[in-house]
Amino acid sequence: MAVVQLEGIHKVYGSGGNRVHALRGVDLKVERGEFVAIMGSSGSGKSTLMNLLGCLDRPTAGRYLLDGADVARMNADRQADLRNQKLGFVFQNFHLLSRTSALENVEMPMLYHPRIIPRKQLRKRAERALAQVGLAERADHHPNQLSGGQQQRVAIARALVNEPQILLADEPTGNLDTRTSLEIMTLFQELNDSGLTILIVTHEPDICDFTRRILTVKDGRISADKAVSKRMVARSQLEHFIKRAEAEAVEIPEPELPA
Amino acid sequence: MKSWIVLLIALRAIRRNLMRSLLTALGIIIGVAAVITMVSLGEGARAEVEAQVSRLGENVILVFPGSRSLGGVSIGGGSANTLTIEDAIAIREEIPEVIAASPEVRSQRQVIYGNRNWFTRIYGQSADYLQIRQWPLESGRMFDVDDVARATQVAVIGQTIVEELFEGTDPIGETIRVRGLPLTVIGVLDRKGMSLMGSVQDDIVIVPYTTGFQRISGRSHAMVINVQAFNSASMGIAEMKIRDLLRERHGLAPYQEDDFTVQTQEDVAAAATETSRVMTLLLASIAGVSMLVGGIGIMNIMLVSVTERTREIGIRMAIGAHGKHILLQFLVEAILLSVLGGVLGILGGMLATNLISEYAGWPAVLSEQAVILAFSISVAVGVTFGYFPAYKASKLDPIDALRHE
Repeated sequence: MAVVQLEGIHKVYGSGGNRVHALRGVDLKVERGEFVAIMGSSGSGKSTLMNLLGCLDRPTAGRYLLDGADVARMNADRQADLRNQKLGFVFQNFHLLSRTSALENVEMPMLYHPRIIPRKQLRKRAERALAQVGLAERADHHPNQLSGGQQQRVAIARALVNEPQILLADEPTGNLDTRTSLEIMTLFQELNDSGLTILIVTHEPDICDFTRRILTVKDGRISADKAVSKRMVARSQLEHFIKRAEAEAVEIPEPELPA
Repeated sequence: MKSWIVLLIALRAIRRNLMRSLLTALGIIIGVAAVITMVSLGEGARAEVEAQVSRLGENVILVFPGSRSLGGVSIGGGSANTLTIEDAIAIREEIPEVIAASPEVRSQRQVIYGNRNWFTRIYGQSADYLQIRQWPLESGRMFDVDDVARATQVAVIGQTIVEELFEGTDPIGETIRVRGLPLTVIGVLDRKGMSLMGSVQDDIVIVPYTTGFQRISGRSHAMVINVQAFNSASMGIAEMKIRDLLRERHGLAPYQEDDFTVQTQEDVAAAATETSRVMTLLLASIAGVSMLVGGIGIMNIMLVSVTERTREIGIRMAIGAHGKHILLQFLVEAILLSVLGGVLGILGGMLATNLISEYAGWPAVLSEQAVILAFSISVAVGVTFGYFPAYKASKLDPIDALRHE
């Protein structure tokens, strides 16, 4: 059974003369374990689609079945519970709480879990999630003491800590340099290989090549849906990148002082 | 969601903005400290007044002359010459419930001893005045009925006079002069302290009223008659009988008003405690206003905080917080801040109370009620002023909140 199933989704913002028809009938099925890239220019409706998929917004018309349950009919609190347990979010701007340690940031989703998790286990699970993204030894660092890539990895650990069914990432590499982007994509590929369903929104074609399926959104509709024929492996790209960077590193000569 | 999780979230949020949180709580700290200090000082004043009232004497009734009108214009109570020495004697002799009565005359005079002088109050009183006032002697003796009858030139003096004129040497048997009139010191009074009106009662020279009226003040009418009733149960009857007797003696017709005023010790005490109670209330309400201001300060900061932390709220909602959780978080934050303010304020108030009573010498009684009240109010302030911002936060839309910069 598909983990995500959209049927005739419409989304209209505003009313009267200011109506914006952001989505005009989207049908989509995502099976468990897929790695999907959603591409599209700005204004294409991909962000709206992402908000709907993330249960942050409701469709104006159509059905959205998440893991078999109809999301559109749920109240706000039920939707919040879905975001908490079934979905993990990764944002372009990381969206970590400032002046809060990485560990506490990762603990946060567990605090809102309907099942009470004992304090000790809270910490243990957060540490495990941080270890999963390779940041075990930075647990006590605050976001401003971490690089962009590290912050994004904390955000991924936060998204994973409640063991969601789907990871939703909105431009996860948008604010990162090439090398860090490759690191994040390596992590995503590893997570996907272990069975996690991942949907990412991006406008970088390079990033799409690491996924398994590419959806193109245009004018509120899915205009293209194709499988990635030649999937790239982020880890080898990363190793290649590092090697080349080392080779290209040239010694900068001492500047000559004017006489 | 369990309460410890709500607490944990709120505590973490306060810790994240520790400086701002402390400044926010400052309003409450000052408010609570002010309430406690003010009420403690007020309570102290009340206790002091009560002590002074009891120092007034035992079962005392005071009879004041009535007001006098000049062409229909009153010139104030106690201004008329309506009480005579004979009135005092009659009260004493004819009313069985009365065991002592002293016609009082006061004059401000310079007292001279050797090359020293002191400006003080000279009281003419009867021999039983000290009994009425429950005022013991430190040394020597009080003048007796005989002294009064013969208008002897003797004086009983207070501690202030001993200090100012005699510098600690034994004054018994020495002669002081008032307007050239020599008075032999025969007794020294115990220290009495402040009166209800705040004057130093030890600054006093007491002479037989005969001497006082004729030789010192030159007046013929009593300024007050100090009366002592047999016991507290007989006060009411004594008061009534004094009124009847004086009306009869003054020949007042039934349609005429009293030309005197009778006041019992209880009346004086009630008036005095009422004054101090009003004062305490006034101080406490001023302090209460500062609590209100403190509460508005909390609301202000919480509102700013909600706006500033819109993104945080968005993040929390995105990862599964219900609106209710956000409401609780901000509400508990506000309550924690005001409770923190309350606790620090109580400590501050205790410290301030101690310092003031120590250095200014004002009596202060730390009031437990005030502590409990101030603390409850600070919690109430937290709930009241924290609710609106918290409600506002809980109604945010997660998408808008996440986009907020």
